[in-house]
This record gives sequence, structure tokens and C-alpha cells, in this order.
Amino acid sequence: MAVEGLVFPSTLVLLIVVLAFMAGALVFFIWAARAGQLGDLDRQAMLPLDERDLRVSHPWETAEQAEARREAWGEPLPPEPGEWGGAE
Amino acid sequence: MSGGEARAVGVGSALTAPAPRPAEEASRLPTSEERELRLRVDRSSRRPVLVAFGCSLVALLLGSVFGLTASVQMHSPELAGPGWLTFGRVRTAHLNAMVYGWASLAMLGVSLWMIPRLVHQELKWARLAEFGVWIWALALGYQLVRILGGIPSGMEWLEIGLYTGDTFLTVGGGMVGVALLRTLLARAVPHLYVSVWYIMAALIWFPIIFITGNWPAWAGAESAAVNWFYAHNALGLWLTAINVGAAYYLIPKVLGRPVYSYQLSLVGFWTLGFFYSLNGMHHVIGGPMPTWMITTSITASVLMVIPVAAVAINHHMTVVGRFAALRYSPTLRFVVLGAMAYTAVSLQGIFTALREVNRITHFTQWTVGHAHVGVYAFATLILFGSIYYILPRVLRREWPSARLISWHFWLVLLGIALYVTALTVAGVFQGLYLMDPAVPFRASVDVTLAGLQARSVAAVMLTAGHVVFAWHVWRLWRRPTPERELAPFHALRPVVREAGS
Amino acid sequence: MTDRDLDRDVERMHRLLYREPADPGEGREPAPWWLWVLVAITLFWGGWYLGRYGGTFDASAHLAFAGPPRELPDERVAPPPEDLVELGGSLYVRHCQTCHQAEGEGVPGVFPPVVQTEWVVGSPDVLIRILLQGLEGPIEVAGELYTGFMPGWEALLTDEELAGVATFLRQWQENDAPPVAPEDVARVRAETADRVEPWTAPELTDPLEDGP
Repeated sequence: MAVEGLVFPSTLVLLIVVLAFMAGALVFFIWAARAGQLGDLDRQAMLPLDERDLRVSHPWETAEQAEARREAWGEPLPPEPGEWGGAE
Repeated sequence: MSGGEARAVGVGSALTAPAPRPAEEASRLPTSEERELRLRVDRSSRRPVLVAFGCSLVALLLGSVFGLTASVQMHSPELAGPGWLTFGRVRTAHLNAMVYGWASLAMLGVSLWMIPRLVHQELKWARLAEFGVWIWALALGYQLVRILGGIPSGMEWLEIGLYTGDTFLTVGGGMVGVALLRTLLARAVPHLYVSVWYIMAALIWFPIIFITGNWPAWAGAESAAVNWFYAHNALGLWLTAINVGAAYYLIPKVLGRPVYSYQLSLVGFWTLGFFYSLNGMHHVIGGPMPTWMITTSITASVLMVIPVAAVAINHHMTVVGRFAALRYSPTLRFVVLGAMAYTAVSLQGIFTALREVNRITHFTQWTVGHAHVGVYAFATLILFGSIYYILPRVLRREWPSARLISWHFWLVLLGIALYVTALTVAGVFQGLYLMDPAVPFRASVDVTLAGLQARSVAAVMLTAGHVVFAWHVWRLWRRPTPERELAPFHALRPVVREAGS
Repeated sequence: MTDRDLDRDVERMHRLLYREPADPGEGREPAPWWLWVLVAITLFWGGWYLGRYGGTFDASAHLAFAGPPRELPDERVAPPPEDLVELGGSLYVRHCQTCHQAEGEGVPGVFPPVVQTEWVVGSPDVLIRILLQGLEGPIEVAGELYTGFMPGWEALLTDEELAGVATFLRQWQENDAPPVAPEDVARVRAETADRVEPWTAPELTDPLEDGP
């Protein structure tokens, strides 16, 4: 489907696109750094976890792990059916 | 880094306040509030997510049949059938059904569910997103008919017609992207979790590479270069990004603990974002391209060991000591295996990108095996795990059968293990025979025969696994909504109150 | 997002965090030291590899299709073999083997064999005619009938190359006939200058019967 006589070096095309990719990543990276997205990592790591995920009793955990969880988050809640995805 | 406005607002008071004792704290925790939020958020994304998953499952079943047919024809060409069932068309239909139908649509579904959850905000413009998913799915269905009718575009991974298909996919995917972007701008949490970075970046990267790959101005060697720029990035910046993002959400969620090192997860994301797009040219090693271009690509491929190691360490260290959880959570089982396959396929890819290895493995079944470690053992397993987690939450009823999940899991796990082993071994022999001038060409074909037959056995297992899965989803869908539809949320409250009283 | 929402969210998140004495390291482990070693090694390797295999950043790489083809230095072009049989053998592999097969055994019913046949080891003039203008229609070779089409090579190969092919064929395996000289090819080429279409077997056998 190329236009007759209009040959565009692929290297040039790809150089431009790849550089655009890197420039785009750089712009977002700078924004992320300025907006504090790269700091406060402890909080960020906890973001997907609800209170319930942390408090619910996880039957596979060892006694120590369960105890640590109880100390940190309080008396464990009983898990619901399908709590961890799937019927089991 | 100071952490910006968000930190400045909250930290002071939290630091000075004495940490309350857990037992006292429990009563004041907004647990039920959190649950109401989740409920609201899941309800907002319900329709587009269901449409995306439904269409992706249809594509999965169709793609499995196409794949099985193509696989059988590789070793029994006498079973070719009429024109539309010949290898060249069925194999192409398989690839497009699986990549753009199954994987991409399921990934759109995962994104539509996960982003609202992670930004604590209902999905905005859900109608637009749903409409976008329909456009994508219907355009792809029409394209599959075109491919079987023998009018593909003729470039690998880009067989979809330019004006009749690519345009619609771009627009449909764009509508999903816009709805998610709108949701992101309305976010109720200051931070973007690493999964949000991965998923939103993928939704921006994909249209760029898709349009570049399809732009109708390339010819000859250029079109090969652009072709592989697209096809490789479709794996690395689209399939990989969303599925790694999903794993970063689901693993902590199931285990009830944050990822091992959040710092590492950011290192992984940003190195991928900065350098991945250089990688594609290692597909044309030995082709008529400038040497520096291919060498740059090989170097970038090897440097990908950094994000891969970052992700691998993070996922592994989060699960380590808790592997027993795999017995309790089917989601985790699929996702953890998928995450391991991500490490495996990346290291294999880096190895294959080296010239010394590539001259043996190029143009052999090894490549087919490698592609399936990536798209199947990594992406598809994570998508299965995600669907097991997401669908009950969206439909608000539980999976009817643990047995069916087990069948699904073992069929696809053993199937893909057999598939990859057979083709990888066959590919190495094929490559070595092709390199030896003393061995006639025919021998390099004959040596793959056992591997190809084993691959057909694997294809039957995988197809059977998909049928089991689809049947299970159908039963979940048909299952009457339980009386206690809202029970979990109400039932929980007394527990919380008791803890406080 | 209002300030109040932000406040509440921040507060809530911190409450979760500060009540976590048991495992304070969770989620904030630094990257392991060996990852940075790996990073350093990979970067070092990358630099070396770019230097070793980078090739030139010559602009001609971009213009490969636009400019005239560059002349290769002479020493890179292998001189044509002086020995006629060697020259013919390599030409056979390139041009003839697809039909007449690696051992010259041909394909039953379509492509006749080139060993142990009077067509090859007989009159050199007949062989040269077949090579020059090709052959079409039924032909009987060693008691078997073949119906196929062979293109002529007069436009593609020089006298010397055709002499090489003819000589190679006439002395290949069990064949043992005198060589064909480039001059013979030149003479037959001149004789058949008006001939355009391929020969048929009867046209070639008739003079043979009268022959020497």
C-alpha cells in the first residue's frame, strides 16, 4: 500500500517513534516526581488493601504470621465464601 | 522527594497522635464504609466489564477451535478441508481471535474493573466504555470472517483490515481509554498505585504502536521493521503491562499484605516505560536492516533483565512463606503461575534475542513455543485468575463448583507445559538441522513431527480446559442471585460492633 | 477531589499504617543489593555489545534504497572457476537440480533423468540445442515416457557457462563422454539464432538417425 516513489527509511520512523516514547515517559516521570507520586511509598503500597483484607483470617498462615496479623489489625474476621477468588 | 501536597496535609497529625490500640481502634474503623465504596464502585463498572468478559470468552472458544485445527493440519496436511479451513487462514484467525479477541477484551474488562477500584471512584462514562467494548468486539468478529474468507492484510499480527477493522479497534479501545482516563482524573485518592501506572500507560501505549504499525506508508524492509516494532510492543507494552498490573493488585489483595518492595515495583515500571520500545528489532536479526539498529535492540532486550528481575523479586518475595495460599485461592494459583511464567518468558526472550542463539532458533517451532509461554502461560493464566476474582464480585454470586475450577486449572496447566516442552525441543532440533548443510532440508521437517503431534494433544487439553471454564462461567451467570445477596455486607456489621463493644 | 476527602483519605491510610508494629518492613523493603550489581553488570555488558556489534552509524544505512548500489570491492567477488566441470556443477545445482534432482535421477513422468541417457552422452549438438532453447512435449528416455517442459537458457547463460553445464553432465557419475567446448556452443547458438520456441523430441531425433 506504499505510495510509489515515497520511500521513508524505517530506521528514521522507528527512531522518531521510540524517541517519542522515551520523551513521553520522561514527561510523565517528571510529573510523577513533582506530584509526589514517587514518594510516600509505604502509603502507596497499602493502597489496594482494605481494612478487611488485612483483618480477615488467612487460613494458610502459620501461627506466627496469624499472631502478627492479629496484633497489628485486631481480632481476625471470618472469611466469606469466595473471599480470595474462586470456590474453595 | 518530599511527597508533595498529600503528605503535607496528613502526616503531622497522624505522627503526633499516639497509635491507638488495635482493640479500641477496631470499632471506629470505617470497614463498612469501605465495603459500601467497593460495592458502589463494582456496580458502576458492572455492565462494561461483563460485556468485555463475555465477548472475550466467545473469542477464547473460537480461537481454541481455530488453534486446534491449525495444529492438527501441521502434522496431518491431508485434513486441510475447504479453502476457508486451510492452515494459512485458520492459523491467522487463531492468532487474531486470541490476541485481539480473548486477551485484549479480557484485559479491557480487567482494566475497567481495576482502575475504579484503585482510584476509589465509580467508573465515569460507563456507557461510553461499554459501547467501545462492543465496537471492538463486533469489528473483530467481522475481521475473523474476513480472514477466513482469505482477505487479511498480509502482515503478521496486523492481518486485520485497515479501514474495516483497525479503525474500529482504535476508536473502540479509545472510548474505553477515555472513560478510564476520566475516572482517573476524578480519583478520590492522591496516589496512583503501580497497577494504575501499568494499566493506564498500556492504554496510552497501545494506540500509539497500533497506529504506527498500521500506518499504510511502509514498504519492503521498512514494513518488516515497523511490523516487528508493533508486534513485539503489542506483547511488551500491551499484554505485559496490563497483566503485570493485574498481578500487582491481586497478589497483595489475596494475601492481605502489601507487595514486598514498592520501591522496586516503581523501578520495574519506569525502566519498562523508558526502554521497552527499543526491543522489537531483535525479530529481524539477519534481515536487511542497519546493524546498529538490530544491535541496539538486542542490547535493550538484555537490559530488560532489570524490570523483569524487579517484578520477579517483588512477586516472589510477597508470596514467599505463604505458598500454602495457593491451595485456598484459585485466583492466586493462576496469578502466581502466570507471574512465574512472566519471568520465564522474559528470560527466554532475552536469551533468544542473542545473535548466537537466534541463528539456531529463528524460523523454528521454538518461536511458536516462546510466543505461547508469553501469551498463554503468562497473560492468559493471569487473566483466568483475574476473572475468577472479578466475576463473582461483579455478579455478586459465588462460583458454583470448586471441582470445575480444579479441572480447568490442571487441564490448562498440564496442557501448556506439554505444549511448550514439545515445541521448544522440536525447535532446537529443527534449528540445528537447518544449520547443518550435510542434513537435507526434509530431515529438519521430519524431526519436528513428534513435537507437532504432542502439540495437538496439548491443544486438545487446552481447548477442553477452556470449555470447562466457559461452562462454569455460564453456570455462574445462570445461577439465581442468592437470597443473601447483600448479606455479606450486613452480616459483617455485628462482627464489627462486637469487636468494639 | 475536595480537601476534606483528601484529608479523610490520608488520615485513614495513616491509621492503617501506624497501627502496624508487627511487620514494619512490609512494602518498604529496599531493592536487594545484588539487583544493583546485576544492573551494573548489564549496563557494562550493553556498552560493550554496542561497541562490538554496533556497526557504523553511516548515513548510507538510511539511504540503502535511495542511492545507487555500491560497488563491492573486487576481492570479495569470487572469480569464476576455470575448470569447466566445476563451473557446470555449480550451475547445475543452481539452475537444474530443482527438476532433474540432486542425483540427476529426474521425476518419473515429468522430468527425465540426465545420467545414463543417449540424449546427454550422444551428440553434443543435440544437448546444446536442448540447453539453448529448451524442450517441450513427450520424450522417451531409457524406455520411459516423460511429458514436461524445459525452458531454454540462451538468454541467461554464456557460451562458457553452457559448455560447463554440458561437460559436467556428460562426465557426471557413470557418464563418460568427451567434453563440450565454448566454441561448440557458440557455433550452435549461431546456427539456431532464428529458433525461438523450445525443441520437440522428434525434431532432435530425426537428424540423429541420419547422423554420424
